[in-house]
Amino acid sequence: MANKVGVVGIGMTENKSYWNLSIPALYRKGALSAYEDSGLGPAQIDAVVFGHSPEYFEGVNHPEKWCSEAVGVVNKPLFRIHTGGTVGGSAAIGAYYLVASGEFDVVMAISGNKLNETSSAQIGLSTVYEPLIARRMGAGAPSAVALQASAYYAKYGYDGEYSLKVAVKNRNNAMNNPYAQLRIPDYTLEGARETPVLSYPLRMADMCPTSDAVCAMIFAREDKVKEITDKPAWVLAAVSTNEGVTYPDRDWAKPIGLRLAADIAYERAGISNPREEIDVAEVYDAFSVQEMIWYEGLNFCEWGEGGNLLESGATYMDGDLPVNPSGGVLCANSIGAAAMFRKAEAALQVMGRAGDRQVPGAQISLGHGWGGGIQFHTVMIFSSNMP
Amino acid sequence: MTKISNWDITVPYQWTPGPVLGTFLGGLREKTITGVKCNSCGKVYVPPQDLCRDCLEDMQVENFVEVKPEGTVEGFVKIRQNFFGERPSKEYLSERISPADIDQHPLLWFPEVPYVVAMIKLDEADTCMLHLVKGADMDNLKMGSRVRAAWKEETIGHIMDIDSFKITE
Amino acid sequence: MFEPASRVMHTWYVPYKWSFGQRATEFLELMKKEQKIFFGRCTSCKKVMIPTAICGKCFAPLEDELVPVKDEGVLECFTVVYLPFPTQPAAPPYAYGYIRLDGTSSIMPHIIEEVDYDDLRVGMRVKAVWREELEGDIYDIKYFKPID
Repeated sequence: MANKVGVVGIGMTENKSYWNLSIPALYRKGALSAYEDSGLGPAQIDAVVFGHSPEYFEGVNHPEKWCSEAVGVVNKPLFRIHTGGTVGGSAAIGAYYLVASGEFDVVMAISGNKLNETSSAQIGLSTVYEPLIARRMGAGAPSAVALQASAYYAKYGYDGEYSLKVAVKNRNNAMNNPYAQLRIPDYTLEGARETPVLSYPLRMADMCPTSDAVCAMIFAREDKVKEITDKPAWVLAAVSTNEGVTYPDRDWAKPIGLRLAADIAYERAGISNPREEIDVAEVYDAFSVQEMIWYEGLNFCEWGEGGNLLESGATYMDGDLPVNPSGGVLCANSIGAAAMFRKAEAALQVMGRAGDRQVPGAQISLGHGWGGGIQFHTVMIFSSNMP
Repeated sequence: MTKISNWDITVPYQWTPGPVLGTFLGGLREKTITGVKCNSCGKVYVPPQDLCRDCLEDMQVENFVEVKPEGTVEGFVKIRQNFFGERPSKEYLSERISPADIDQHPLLWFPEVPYVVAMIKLDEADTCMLHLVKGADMDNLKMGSRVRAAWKEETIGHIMDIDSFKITE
Repeated sequence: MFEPASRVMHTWYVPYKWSFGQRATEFLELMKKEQKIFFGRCTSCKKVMIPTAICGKCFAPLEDELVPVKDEGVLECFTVVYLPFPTQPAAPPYAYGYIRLDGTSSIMPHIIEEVDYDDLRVGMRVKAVWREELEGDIYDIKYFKPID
């Protein structure tokens, strides 16, 4: 029987280019932010789970070995988990498992990247493709998601307008988020339509920026939570899945792996109607079109209804299920920290500490991430109330 | 045997040293070796770190000290096997990374084998630094040999601004 | 004390030798020998897929013999790439997509040419255009082009 686990501290750095901080220095900044937030110090942390996405972005193998002292992990267990873009989510889930198992009392999850250490992040992303055939053709992430977009539009009759609306919604939301990189005032649909097509059907407006950032979350077991804070975010569910990339008859517009992870998460959280019961969600929209596909995967609506859900206004800040009040990955993408930011933002919402981006009265929230050849999905559900 | 394809992954990097290491590299550009001193324990780190490993305290740019470029060899290894393979030519690289990156990236590859890498404890430092030891008198190199830094003509703010250390006795 | 250096520049060059394994090697050898595409059939579900993969549904091996498949099929999804960056297969703009060859259950990625990019549609039928001289390489198929 798993222990009850709460989030007792959150650390964030702004998403931007850090031309004056080395990789360990940026990790230190993120870790210090979490220590300050929780009132704990390195001595109170029993283990650390590191994220950090592919080595190719900074060219440092096992960056955790360089950064472990900077984070305050000395003579303690250190684990590294790696699932591409959702590495931040997997690190958070890993830390949760370590506490839920009863093996450790307090565990920190920390993940980030300095994408600006290379002059081309796309080269790193290209190494995701298997080298025998696929890498000779495809390259970079935008093309991979553009393929998903073309399949999605063709299958359900949506088009680029829908995606641009997601972009406008999220970029406007980001104005309330001091940690977001892209904070463009008065971002309009007309302006978004003018941006160049970078990988048809995706425009520049549909794409995320390249950020440096670190995010950290501290998880504690029930009895410890009460000693540390009276406003934790309780974890109701933490589920991850690997859908696979090359299985036969794959439908690129239908993330069945995500639906599976979401179903398990809802069952664990005791949620029977996610559309009604979830108050706010943070999903991994590296490209705007994906937000609608994730609505369907997360069962906020039926397959094929993602665009319609968007049009209904339900996922806007004044709707009944706001999605990405922080601006999402579309406004801040360090890859390594991006999925953990989704979980951290979701946790802040139920803690009532999301500042200008707070959804009033949020009690149940969801944080999602995806990674790899669009195959890894992580879902965490948080609550203001102990389960 | 099944098919083998030869390919490579070539990525240009622009690493951020940060203010502490950056100051050290700036010193090398001026042909000066410096170290940073921990506020708490007083240890002098050459090359500097952002954090004192014993005290877990941030090092400060204000605490830099100049150190003499002389020290003692505390360990060394002679590399005889070239395990880096053939170096790519500029032409080969230009098919893989942009021309601007090629110009900005000095191809500071490891030297031809055989070469010697040594752990050198500079007299005024509390930590060791790794660097090459070169010279005609290499047969005399042993634990405890005294060495002195020799500089490149043109320096850019890089650890290889020190060309190598030479044995003095 | 000194003007700090703000960057350390380096180019990381790592050469690799990738093993294709038996099936993928046969796939390319047969491509050269017969000017045909040969896929693998799952011993369990009998679905036919590109021989670099194992059947994700069954976790069963592919049959020993590869089977020939038509070199034409349906464009499942596509993109036209305008953004330039290193490691691309062609200079932008170029079109690239996932093709479901007739009778197969996995996709084959490839470049699409001989088409006005504005006319590209999911669901188009496309056919392989082969090179004059075959070398046993995936680009023995130069690209796929739309057919009626």
